[in-house]
Amino acid sequence: MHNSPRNFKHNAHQALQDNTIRSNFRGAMDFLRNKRRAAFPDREDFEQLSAQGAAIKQRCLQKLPQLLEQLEQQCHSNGIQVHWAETAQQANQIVQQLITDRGGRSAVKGKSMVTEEIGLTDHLNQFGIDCIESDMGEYIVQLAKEIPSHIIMPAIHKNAEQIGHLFADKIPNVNYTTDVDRLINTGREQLRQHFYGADVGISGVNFAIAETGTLCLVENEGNGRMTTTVPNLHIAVTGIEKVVEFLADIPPLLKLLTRSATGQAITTYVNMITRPRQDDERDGPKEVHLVLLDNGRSQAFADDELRKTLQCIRCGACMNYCPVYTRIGGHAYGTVYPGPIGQIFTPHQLGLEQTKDLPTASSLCGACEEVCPVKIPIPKLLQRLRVESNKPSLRVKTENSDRTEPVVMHGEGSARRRLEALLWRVWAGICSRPALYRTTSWAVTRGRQLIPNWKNGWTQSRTLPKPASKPLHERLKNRIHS
Amino acid sequence: MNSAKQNILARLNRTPLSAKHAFARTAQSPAEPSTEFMTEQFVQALESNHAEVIITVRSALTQVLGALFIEKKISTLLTSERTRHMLPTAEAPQYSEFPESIEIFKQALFNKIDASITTSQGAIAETGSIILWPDSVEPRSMSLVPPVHLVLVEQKSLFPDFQSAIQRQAWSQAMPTNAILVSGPSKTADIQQTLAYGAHGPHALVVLLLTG
Amino acid sequence: MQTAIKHYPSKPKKVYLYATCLVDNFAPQSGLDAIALLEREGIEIIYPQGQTCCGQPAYNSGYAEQAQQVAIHQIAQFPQPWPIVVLSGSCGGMLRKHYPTLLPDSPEVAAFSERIYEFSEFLVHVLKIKLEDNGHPERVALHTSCAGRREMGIREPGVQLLHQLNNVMLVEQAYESECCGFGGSFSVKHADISSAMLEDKTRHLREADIDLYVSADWGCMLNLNGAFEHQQQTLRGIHLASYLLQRTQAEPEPIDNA
Repeated sequence: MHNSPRNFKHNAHQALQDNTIRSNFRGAMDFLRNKRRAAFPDREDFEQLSAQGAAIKQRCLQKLPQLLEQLEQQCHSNGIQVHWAETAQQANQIVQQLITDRGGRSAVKGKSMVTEEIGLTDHLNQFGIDCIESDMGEYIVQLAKEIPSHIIMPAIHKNAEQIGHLFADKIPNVNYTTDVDRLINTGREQLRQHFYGADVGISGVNFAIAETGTLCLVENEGNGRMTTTVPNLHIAVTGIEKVVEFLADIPPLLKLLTRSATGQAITTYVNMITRPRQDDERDGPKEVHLVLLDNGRSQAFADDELRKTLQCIRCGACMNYCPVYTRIGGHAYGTVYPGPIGQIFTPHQLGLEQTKDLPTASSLCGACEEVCPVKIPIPKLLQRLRVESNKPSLRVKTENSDRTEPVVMHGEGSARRRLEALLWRVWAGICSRPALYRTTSWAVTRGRQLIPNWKNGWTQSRTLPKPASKPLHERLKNRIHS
Repeated sequence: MNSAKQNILARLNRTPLSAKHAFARTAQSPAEPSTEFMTEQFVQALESNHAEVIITVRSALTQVLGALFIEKKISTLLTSERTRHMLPTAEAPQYSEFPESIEIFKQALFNKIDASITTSQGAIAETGSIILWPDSVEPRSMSLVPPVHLVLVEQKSLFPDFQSAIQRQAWSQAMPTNAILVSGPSKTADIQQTLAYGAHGPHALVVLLLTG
Repeated sequence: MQTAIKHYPSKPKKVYLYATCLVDNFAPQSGLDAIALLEREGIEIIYPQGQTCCGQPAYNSGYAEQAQQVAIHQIAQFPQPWPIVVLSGSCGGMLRKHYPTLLPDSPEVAAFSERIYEFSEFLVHVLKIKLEDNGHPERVALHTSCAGRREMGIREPGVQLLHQLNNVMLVEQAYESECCGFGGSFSVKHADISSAMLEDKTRHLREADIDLYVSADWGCMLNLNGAFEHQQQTLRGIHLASYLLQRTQAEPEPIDNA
């Protein structure tokens, strides 16, 4: 597997050959689909709640710049310091500088996709800072020197046997077992040492509340609480789209998030952090920092349709229900966020040129949109990204520089093929001129015996469909209408 | 990194936003369910999340706890001035309290304590969640690090759902340093979707629901 | 997504038939059978000779401009205010759901899209058809296309129609709602993934131990039947229109699928 969306087709091909991957994912997706189904027994209830969720996220995005400033102000008055980062590089530098300035050497990280997105662990390692993943799934993935294959269940691509072997190989004095309780206990013992000794805890954020300056974290294991409670320094990193306006927005979003993700009515812990340790308090980090990351989000924000991408609350339901993700697994995408949400989100981070195979890797079946708790029209957005990929590149000059800027997004027009564009023009010409259409239809049906049996993608698993001997419109030509 | 802030906000502000999405603030609560209904819902949700619930009256609490300590083989218990007076004195475990800071207590906290007992700020019936507002008396790590967490919940502090708890306790007027909802023992399904308890936090959560 | 609740008119005298380019060129018998069935119900069928493709292939491939050109042409072929019966859930979804977004400035698009009815939806909700089964006992599965299911909501009408057939046992295949892997250009651009989905879908249909499967979409059926042929399996699907006609004729005749 190559960690780049440029290798998508190759990766997908490899994954499809791997029966272990196929069965691990099928089993896991069946499990998660059943859990979600049980959590939303009533379609009407889901429609109502998801309409509410979508409305909240849309309202918050409508006010995004104001809410970000309000969040900063509230955090500031609570004693949480806020930093802004336009790029992954800037965010990494901010975090590393905060740790280095305080002489920190070891970090423990709660599960966070945004720190995966910016490649924080590698960056910190380069500066001599150890960074241990503390979520069980993330820990397993880090131990195997891999990346998460699912945004909620990072190690979903591995079965217990594979994890048993991994622990026995990588952790001293651990014997091979497939007993999940024993494996988890091994992880617990290993990671407790890190919670105990870490200089800094790094986390993501599920919801940042502008009204109160509160960081809301949702989890089951307790590693997130450990990370944000035990070390003296807590650094939270989050995308700018995670800000919500009111504390009262949290209950419906939380309900949608946990039910959609794992079918739980609520997670074991909901952790709401508003201040660092106060003078009279006895534990908790003495400093809390929040890093707000753009990294392509403002590009999606600028377009009324593409902005809907930012409604996402990262539940992972779209991948659980995706027939493509189920077949190829998360790693094949070569992106941090796999599956449908990754296909519509990653092009804004990496540009369409790097990600041109992602918008097309969908049958547009709509299963993702059907389960999305905040009603993101994912198929419509994939289709829109196809338009952006294929359109003729028209770069415009910006007001104050000679540099040209893309009209909608970086890499637009990069998948355009002249021949393909020409073929579609010819096709449109045929389909909008009945005489031409009928001639083509006549030629295809009469020449049906002459169509060669091409060997191509289609025929690897199907025979080529054969045109009829005479099309319907000819058979109906002599019908008399009133 | 002030320029990063200006650049991001400038990009966001460049986009003209229509006001058509002026949604009303979300706030609605259905009719108040009865205490019996809420209690049943609360207990059921917690038990299905692998927590233990013991319903008791305050006057029997000391006795209940004594039995619980024996059953759970608790020999060291982390307590506080809020709970100390309720605890049995005979055949009791060794009680300790959180000193002035975690820095001087970490070693014992991580290695020597079998269980902790805390109070709570309230509870949520719908999801079987305990509301904790850790403070200087009952710090955050008390309910997190020891393998067993015992928590006292007053039946009269049950709210139907999270939204009503936030509203009636006016959270947004004065958010605590840290607010936590706990809905069971720590757990994970990260290995082959198999549930295992005691991932990083307590592997047992015992809720003492005080009636009357 | 299916959003607004569709209001169904009472039974009309006349309807347009939009057969789709796949039925026209690959499965004309489905069109003839649909006409026979509708005429039997006393409906006059108008087949505009100028109809071509709905434009979905270009639309889904990211060539919106070309899709627009074709959409404008289609709308012009159906000038009278009669209902338009479409022999595909997927093309129906294009005409009803996507034309309005594709042509936001067109004054007639909304009225056009409101007149779109997928075939099985029309039979159940507009004609309220009553079927009498004259066929032999058979085990049958229903395959609903993704757009048919999610944009047009036609799984339920399909089930309802098959349930009216007394001798037909409707069997639900495993992963019934999962995509067959066609997806237009997806099946060419990502042939490996498409094939994997198709192999699973055909296996689930085979494992359902059915005599045949029925679908209201030739897109999926060209995909699935082509795969069964490739696998040298005898299982095939036929269009719902043909199946309903065949089962309800006084003397069942063999159906020509060509």
